[in-house]
Amino acid sequence: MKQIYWRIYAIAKNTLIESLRQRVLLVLLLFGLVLTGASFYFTNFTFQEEFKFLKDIGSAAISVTGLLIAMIGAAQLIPAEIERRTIYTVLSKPVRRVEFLLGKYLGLLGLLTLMVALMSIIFGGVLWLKEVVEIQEIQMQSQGGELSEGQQRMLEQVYEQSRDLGMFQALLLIWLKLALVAGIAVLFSTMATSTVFIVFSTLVVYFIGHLQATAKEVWIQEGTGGVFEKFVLVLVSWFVPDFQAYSIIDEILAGTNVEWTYIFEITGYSIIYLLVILALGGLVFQEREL
Amino acid sequence: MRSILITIALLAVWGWIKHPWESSISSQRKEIIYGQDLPVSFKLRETVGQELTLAALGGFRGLVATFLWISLTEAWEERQWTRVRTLADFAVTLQPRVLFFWENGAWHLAWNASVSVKKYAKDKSEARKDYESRQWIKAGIDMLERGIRVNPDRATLYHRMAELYWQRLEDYEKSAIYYRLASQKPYAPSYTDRFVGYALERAGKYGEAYQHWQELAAQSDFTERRPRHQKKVLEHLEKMKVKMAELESSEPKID
Repeated sequence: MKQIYWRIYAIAKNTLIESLRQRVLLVLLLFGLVLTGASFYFTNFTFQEEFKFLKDIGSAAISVTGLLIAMIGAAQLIPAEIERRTIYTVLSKPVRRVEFLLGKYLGLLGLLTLMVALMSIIFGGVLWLKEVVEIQEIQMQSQGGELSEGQQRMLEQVYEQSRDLGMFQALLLIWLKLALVAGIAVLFSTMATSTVFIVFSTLVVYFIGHLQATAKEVWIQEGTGGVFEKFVLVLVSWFVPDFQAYSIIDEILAGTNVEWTYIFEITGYSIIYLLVILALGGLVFQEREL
Repeated sequence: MRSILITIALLAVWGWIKHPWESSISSQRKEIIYGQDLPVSFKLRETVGQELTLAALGGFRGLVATFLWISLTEAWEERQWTRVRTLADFAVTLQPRVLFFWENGAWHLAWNASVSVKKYAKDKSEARKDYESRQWIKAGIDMLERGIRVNPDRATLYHRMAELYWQRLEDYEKSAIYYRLASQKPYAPSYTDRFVGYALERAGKYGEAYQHWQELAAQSDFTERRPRHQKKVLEHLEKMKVKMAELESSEPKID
């Protein structure tokens, strides 16, 4: 049993190192870091609620960069191994295909975790910088004297928004969403050989995942859809995750209090979904002619 | 063959668990976003178009709302008021729990647009300008009313509504009602309490106002928590006592 873990760990580590050497992914990461850092200057376009705008732009930078890295990275996992024929060398050793797939996925997840962590640190730095600037402005307004009731409230609001613990919830949800997208892309990579096809298919699932909750509600619960629509919808929702569940990120960033129980429920949902996807991927990959 | 059967079985079991689970998550999500698990009929009118739009946006609702607001700021600078209203409507539809969009959207309509059409509109009669100005104020009220429906437990929008009735319509009675509602919500600024009294005085309801100031002065919690508020309440109560005495003495006496 211990050997299985070591084998998966070795493949995951190798995948992570290999991914870090890929220029495309590094450029994407760099782009994400610059975008997160630059979000500070975007707030100049508005005259209020700078923290909300800062958080929206910063988290979107993490999400978009992560999405691209998850899809492009996952799309290259298996097709690239087949193209370079390195997969035969690995699988000729006592390594099961499922272990290989799991190792590859975990390597990619490692890269995504590293990326989210790095960008979150930059994001945290930008928020801290904004906090310092805002506090200085309030102190300048009071001219070193006692703060008025309004200024005291402004100061409290600055702390409330810049040191919002809800940010951790948002970052966790972003990471889970990216992990799920990467899982879907890995599932497609066990069936297809074309990188473009894998990226495109993952994108389609991603968008359907955002639409299906509303479609389900309108067509099924309201009874506005026909039999055919309902059948297609049931079929689609059987496979596709409900990505709307993660849309709560925007509310958290806007300052809405979300209970940790909801976050844990989404975490459980994501983990179980990932296990199902990876199990499916393992089954498909097992049967695949290499 | 065995793998295919396992795959089908796995999908069947997962699908069976997944549907009710996702429905429960969706219901909780709507409660967080809209404050309640709204029936679809309401959403069709006010939010569903939004859900489809935001779904199509692929989960970047907050970001889109942010950029819409930046466009709104441009439209405001160029005094394109219809565009301001459309963009504000879109922003509040995307993020109905963000009070900033409601209160500032209403401010643009009831203050900026309403004043601007009176001040800058050319080739229009005064009556026409007045009419248009009132329409923009109504649009601001409508926006705040919708915002209050979605966020009934937050003081900010009641506070803005009270300001709107006070400053734009000089309807102090309604202003007092909204200040009172604002003061009853959690984390309401302490001055909303005082403004109930000021508004009642402006409305000419001195008796009610005096009673309100007395009630405020009798509150036991404000000595430690709100010393400035206490000072202002007591000072104003003294003024009210004088005012009430004046009113009593000026009333015609029947022998």
